[in-house]
Order: sequence, then C-alpha cells, then structure tokens
Amino acid sequence: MAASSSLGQFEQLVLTAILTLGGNAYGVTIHARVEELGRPRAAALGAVYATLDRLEDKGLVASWLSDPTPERGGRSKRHYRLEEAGVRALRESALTAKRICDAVEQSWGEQMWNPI
Amino acid sequence: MEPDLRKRRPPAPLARLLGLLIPPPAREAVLGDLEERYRSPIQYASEGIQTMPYLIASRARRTSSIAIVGLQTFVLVACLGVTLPDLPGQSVPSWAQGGVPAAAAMFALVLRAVYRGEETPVQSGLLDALAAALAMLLSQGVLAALVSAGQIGPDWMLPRGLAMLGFFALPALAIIGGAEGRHGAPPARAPAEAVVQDYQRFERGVRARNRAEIIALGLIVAGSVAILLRFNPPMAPIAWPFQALFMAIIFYLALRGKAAPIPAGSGLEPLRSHFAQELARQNGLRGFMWWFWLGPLFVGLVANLILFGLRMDQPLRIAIGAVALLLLAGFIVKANADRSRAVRDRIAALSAVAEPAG
Repeated sequence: MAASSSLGQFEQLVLTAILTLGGNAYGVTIHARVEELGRPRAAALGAVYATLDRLEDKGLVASWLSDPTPERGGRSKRHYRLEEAGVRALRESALTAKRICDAVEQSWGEQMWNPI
Repeated sequence: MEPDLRKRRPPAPLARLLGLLIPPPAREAVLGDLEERYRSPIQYASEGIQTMPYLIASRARRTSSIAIVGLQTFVLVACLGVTLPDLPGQSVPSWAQGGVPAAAAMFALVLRAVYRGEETPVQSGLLDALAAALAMLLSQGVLAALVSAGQIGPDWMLPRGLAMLGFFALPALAIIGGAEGRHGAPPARAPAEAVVQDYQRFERGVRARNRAEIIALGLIVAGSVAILLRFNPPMAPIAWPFQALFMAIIFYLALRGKAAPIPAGSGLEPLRSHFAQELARQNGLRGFMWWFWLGPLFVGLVANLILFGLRMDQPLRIAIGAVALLLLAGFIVKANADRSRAVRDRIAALSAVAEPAG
C-alpha cells in the first residue's frame, strides 16, 4: 500500500502507458499513450520526462538507452520498463480505481458511464 | 503516422542550440524524441523550449541534495554579511545587500549541478567556486548598471569590505562542491581484481581532496590573519583561537588526511578490510571537518542574530537566529548521514566481492 499511496494520477497514467506499450515504451510513445489515456486533457512532453525521472528514483521503473536509430538522427531511445515495485504500485492503484468505479456505479447505476 | 513528414530533419543549428540547453544525461534521448516528433522548425523549437523547464527542474531535484544546498546557502549568507546588523543611516538593509549576490550565487550553483558533466572532485569544487564568483560579480555588475542609470540607490551595492569577505566563501564552496553531494548508486559487484583499481582511484581522490582542503584552509588562514593584523576588528579575541585551530587542522590533514596505501603483497581479504577501514576513517574525518569548517558560522549566527537581538531587545532576530542555528546543525547532520549511508553501501558492496576461483 505504501508505494501506491504516494502515486499521483499522472504517475498512474505513465505507469499504465509503460505497461501497455511493453517493449516499445520510450519518450514519444509513452507521451502519446498518456495523452490517449488522459484525454481530453493534453499532457506536456516535459511533464512525462519529469515523471519518468521521479518514478525511476522511486524504483518503480528502470530505463536503458537503445542503440542509435537512423530515423531519429542517429540518436538512441531511452526505453522504460516496470520494476516489480512498479507493477505492485500500479496493481494497487488499479484496484483502488476499480473500487471507486464499483461504488459510484452502485449509487448512480449504469448512467455513470454516459458521456458528460 | 505521416512518415513523409518524419523524413524532414530539424535545422542543425537549432538542434545544436537545444542540445546545449538540455541537461547532459537527458540530451541524447530527448533530442531524439524531439527529432522523431519534428514537423516544422517552429513546432520543434517551441516543443523543445516548453520541455526545458521540466528537464531542468527534474535534473535539479536529482542532482541537488537539500543538505548541500543548505550548507552552500549558509556559507554565502555568512560571508556576504546577510545577518549583519544594519548600521545607523543604512538605507538598504544588510540582508538585501548580501541577499542579492547570495541568491545569484545559489542560482548559479544549482544550474551548475544541472549541467555538470564527468568531473573529478577537484574540478567539480573549483568550477563550483568559479560559477559562484562569476554570479556574484555579475549580480554586482547589474546593480552597478542600475545605480548608474539612476534606477536604484548606491546602497544596494555590497560594501567593499563585505565584497572582499564574500571571496572567503569560495574556498568553502569549492570544498563542499568537491567533497559532497554526489554519492550516486552503490557500486555494482566488482570482480576481485577491480578492488585494487577501485582502491587506487579512491586513494587518488582522497589525496586530491586533502590537498585542496589544505590549500583552501591555508588561504582562509592567510586572509584572516592579514585582516586581523591590519584592522584588529572587535571579534579578534574570538578569531585568533580559530586561526590556531585552523592551523592545527592543516597539520593534522597533512600528516593523517591521506588514505594509507595498500599493504604490500596482501590478498583479497586484507585488502577488503583495509579498504573498508579507510572508507570508514575518511568518512569520520569528513564528518568532523564539516563541523569544523562551519564552526565559524555558528559563532557568527550567535553573535549577529542572537546576542545582538538580546542587546537590542529584538525577539524576531533572536528567533531567526535560533532557527538558523538549528537549520545549520540539521544540514550538517544530514550531509554526514547521506555520506555515511553511501559509505555503508560501498562497504557492503565490497564484502560481496567474491574470492577468485581456485
């Protein structure tokens, strides 16, 4: 519980993006997936980098540089993957979110899923 | 995803400029990401500029330890006279006169930490001191320009005596920058043969730092003695014993400050225990040196804030003095605790080194 209790919503989005991207999680793809998950709110690319740094410092994700790729001007990608602590933290966050959904659905019924 | 547009490349000068502004550890990946998202020079430049504050703030958080920033601030605050009582008729208070160059120097030190590359401890300390000195001079240059343009009064400039005293901060900043703050991750498990090279690196680092510390202390003693002899200030009775103590420490560092060389013909186990012992001894020495280096600041805070506040019946000054004393002690304790933790990790990594097979 300790790890997820300190996770912010944006951190949860970034962790989810890394999880769903699998082996293709790096700055550009993570940012695109975060925007998709967090719509309609836009996310700044810099905010994604800062959050990735923070998650790495917390030991929730690990990163490494790939070989240089020609389509990026010969520059490397920094790839990310979830660490075990990150998987645990994300699972706890998802469970909490599910409990919230269930509770709200109980009060509001199916209409809670209608667009606002 | 629009592959035809992707083939366009950002203008090289723009990419180089952004490359200079992005902190080194993030440079490669971020420039690549920006290039992959490239649509037009304006989009590229604007995205790069918008990303920069996040990258700089994140790097500053990662590279700046609160204890080290706190100690650097205290050194600057003390040497630039921020806590000095105001003189009668002084139109700009001391805290503002000294606060401007101190804030400029702190800004420069934090930025230095963000853009710091691979450096030896001595280079790191010297460049920190240089960056702080340039920032202090620049802040005074800007103030001088504002004074001559008639925008502010001449009292905003640091008085000449305090400006000279400000340069006493530089050896202390060099020592703080060279000795502390970047412990990093504990070393990975090294093969047995790497322990010798690791110890030799450690020994060279300690020797360089010890020499730098002796030179810095020598400069401080020489400058202080010159001032005491020339001006015989009211604080002289307190200052002379400090000079004697500084000299004693210089002698101690010259005799015992270096790390002892590896005993001849020793195997892995004696080497490991020698290394661990030296790490612990140097850690203890550093811990003592911080209290010693920053001892004069405690005296200054007591004299300028608490005693002066008591004499002038200013409870706010007394309270600020008490908080400042606690903060300073807290920063020293934290810096020592951070370093001790790093040393413990290093000793643990050493004990995990396996004996060579056979």
